[in-house]
Amino acid sequence: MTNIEKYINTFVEGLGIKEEQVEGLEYQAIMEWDSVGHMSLITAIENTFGIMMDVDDIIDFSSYEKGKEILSKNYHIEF
Amino acid sequence: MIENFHKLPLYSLKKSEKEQLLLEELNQLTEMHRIKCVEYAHYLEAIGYTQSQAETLEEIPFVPIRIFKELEMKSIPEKDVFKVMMSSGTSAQIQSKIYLNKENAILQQKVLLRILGDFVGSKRLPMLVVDSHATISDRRLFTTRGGTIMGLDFMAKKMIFALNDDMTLNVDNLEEFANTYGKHKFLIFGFTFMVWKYLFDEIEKKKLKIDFSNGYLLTAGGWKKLKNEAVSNKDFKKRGEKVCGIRHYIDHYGMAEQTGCIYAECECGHLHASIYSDIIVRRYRDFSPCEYGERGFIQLLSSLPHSYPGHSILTEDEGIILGEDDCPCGRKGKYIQILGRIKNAEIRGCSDTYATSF
Amino acid sequence: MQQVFNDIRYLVGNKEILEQMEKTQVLPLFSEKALNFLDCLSRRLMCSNKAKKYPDVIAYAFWIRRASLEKISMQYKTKDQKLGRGIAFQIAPSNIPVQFAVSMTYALTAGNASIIRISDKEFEQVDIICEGIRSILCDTYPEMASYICVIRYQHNDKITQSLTDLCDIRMIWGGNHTIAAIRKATINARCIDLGFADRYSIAVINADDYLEEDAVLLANDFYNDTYFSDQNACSSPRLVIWIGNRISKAKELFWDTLGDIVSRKYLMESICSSEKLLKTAICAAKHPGIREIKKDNLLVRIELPSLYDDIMDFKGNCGYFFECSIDNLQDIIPIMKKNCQTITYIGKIEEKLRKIINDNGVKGVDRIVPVGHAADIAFVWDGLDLPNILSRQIGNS
Repeated sequence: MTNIEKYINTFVEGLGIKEEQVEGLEYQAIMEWDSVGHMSLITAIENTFGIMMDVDDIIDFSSYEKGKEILSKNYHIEF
Repeated sequence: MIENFHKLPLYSLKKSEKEQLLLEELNQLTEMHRIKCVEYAHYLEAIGYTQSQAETLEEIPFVPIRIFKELEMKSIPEKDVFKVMMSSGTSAQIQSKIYLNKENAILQQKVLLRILGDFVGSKRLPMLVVDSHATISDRRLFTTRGGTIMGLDFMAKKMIFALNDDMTLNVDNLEEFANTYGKHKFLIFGFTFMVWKYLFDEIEKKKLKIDFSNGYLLTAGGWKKLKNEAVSNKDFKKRGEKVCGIRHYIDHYGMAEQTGCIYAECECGHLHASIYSDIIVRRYRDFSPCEYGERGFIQLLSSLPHSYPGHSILTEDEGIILGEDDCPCGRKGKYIQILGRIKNAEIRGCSDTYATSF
Repeated sequence: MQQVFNDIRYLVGNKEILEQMEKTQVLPLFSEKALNFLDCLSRRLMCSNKAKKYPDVIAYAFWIRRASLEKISMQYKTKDQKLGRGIAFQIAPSNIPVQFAVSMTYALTAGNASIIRISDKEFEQVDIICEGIRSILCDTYPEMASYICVIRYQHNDKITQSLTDLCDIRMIWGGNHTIAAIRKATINARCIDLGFADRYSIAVINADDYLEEDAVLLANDFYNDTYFSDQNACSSPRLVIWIGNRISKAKELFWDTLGDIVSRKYLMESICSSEKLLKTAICAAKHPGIREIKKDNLLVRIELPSLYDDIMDFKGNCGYFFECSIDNLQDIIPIMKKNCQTITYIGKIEEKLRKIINDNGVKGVDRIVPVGHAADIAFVWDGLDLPNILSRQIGNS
């Protein structure tokens, strides 16, 4: 699996949503991505990529795009 | 003036007439208590009631009923306190303290008798009290139970207590009463739960032959305890008729905080507000008045409380206004149904978590 | 062995484990064993559909995930010289369902075995977490079974005394009554006894800073700090203090935005309406001049003309807030008493608050966090650095 596939998959599993919903998604835009869903999503991302996210990054992780940016900039994950 | 009320028949006024009379009286009471009771004045200020006149009964400010447990609410100087009425505090709860001067105590009694008289006639009758003599003999424990019984004193030609001090049935007293007075109209008074448990149960258990078919049973309160045993008002009457032949039942709703103004049950099973008092049912969410038929907090208005600011009280009982001016019994005014005490919120604070649950 | 233990019911563990717990070895601070176990529990809860209904369970699961615990453990530089003390007997509070698990996590990460007494009040959150722990102890980490007993028992001084006799640390969560009741059981000479008593918390808002930020996000944060726990958690603010130039504008926006969320989301027991009114009556008798402001009973504010230092004696819950405007941050010193736990804030005022506390030797305030973080779970709680306190350090020259 490529990193982008893995990344999309964390949304699918962490939030319990369909793959086609993932792209362009923003925090609080759907019921599943609320503050509780956010914690599941972050946990899924940390487990998938074997990283430990900083608190500031967890808070800044406000959309699908922003998440990609954070992961590549601060955790050296190439997409 | 309250004297105006005494001249009028109890259930004679239509909505508009009653509101006008009551509004004027209650507005005067609000102003008087504001001047004479400093706690009340501070309360009105806190809730933003600055006007001197309410335009409608709904606008009259109300105090939460437990204020009488927490604060000394009185509008008379200490030296004029004639009697302090305490609510029948269950368990270890703090009791309400209602401060009465002599005039107010007499007024309460007068109105209570007037209202009951409307249901059982104004002639004084022998009365069987389903309680023990001890309830009224210890004046320091002057509770609603004792208070209510004492209030009925004037009503009774003779008062006989059906229970011994240990709450067992005094069979001798009971049989003697039935034999002596049973052939003519008489009264039985008791708290609903006590009548059920200490009179009906015992008569049945002891297989006593008692004829109370000429009795008028006045009951008060205690439906909550019976509800736990799933006893309805109907069951209660059915059983009373079966075990001792009682045919006339007058339940009533009232509280120590507004003694005198009782809401008595008519032949149709409805509790009625007299001209001295009124009921508003309010929504939990914002205290706005409910529609008829909608359940909510019961607010009680009474023209009687002069020595303490209790003329408008928000209770923690739930009820429904069934209708107004149109009860088939012919009485004017609102008639209501009481649904019982609002479920107590659980204590969920940081404190007390253990003491209550462990 | 001990007859009195027969009256104990076990949600996790059993009588044998309890009786043998004295023989259980202590673990190092933030041991791999403890972290593996907790991470496994985290994953299990995160995946559980039942748990997803409960934000508090998910928040707990999020807190005990490996990444979070490892990061915290890195702050403890001397952790290799630290080990647990033995058995931690914990009395969990009955008002916060997941607190028993939080308490267990403190004890376990510090290297101790846990006996946790939970209240009789049924919470599905408790069942979900206990079920998770049980299945992990059974399938994945049976070697951790000797470290955990979660129990219930009716009020019984003998059981409390016997468990206290066993323990090296006693942690009592609950109000002052609870602590006093449990402390009738005497501890061993070297036992550490921690009481997490009733506290109160406040919020401080800089109106000008607030007006620059997203009102809806902040209102949601404030909602989570307060309404989510019916404003009953010790860390839930009961008093809101305003400072700045545009206070009236900020107040209006803040309460209106919060009110919208509250009327959409919050379910209040009807009795609370009259309880709030009663609080106002009692407070007004003592402090004439207070003013009640409300649109409905879900959100009741009491405006204080000045900051009374006993105002917390009148505190309410389920959406009952005192508020007061001040000219100078120094003005809040009188209410930062020993019982004051958390200050949540909006605006650039954290440094100033810390300075005021330091400069004035203030005895209260154990925590200063941005709004939205009042209910966060943390290893430093009530001013206690729990990993250090619950473990022991092997000293050297």
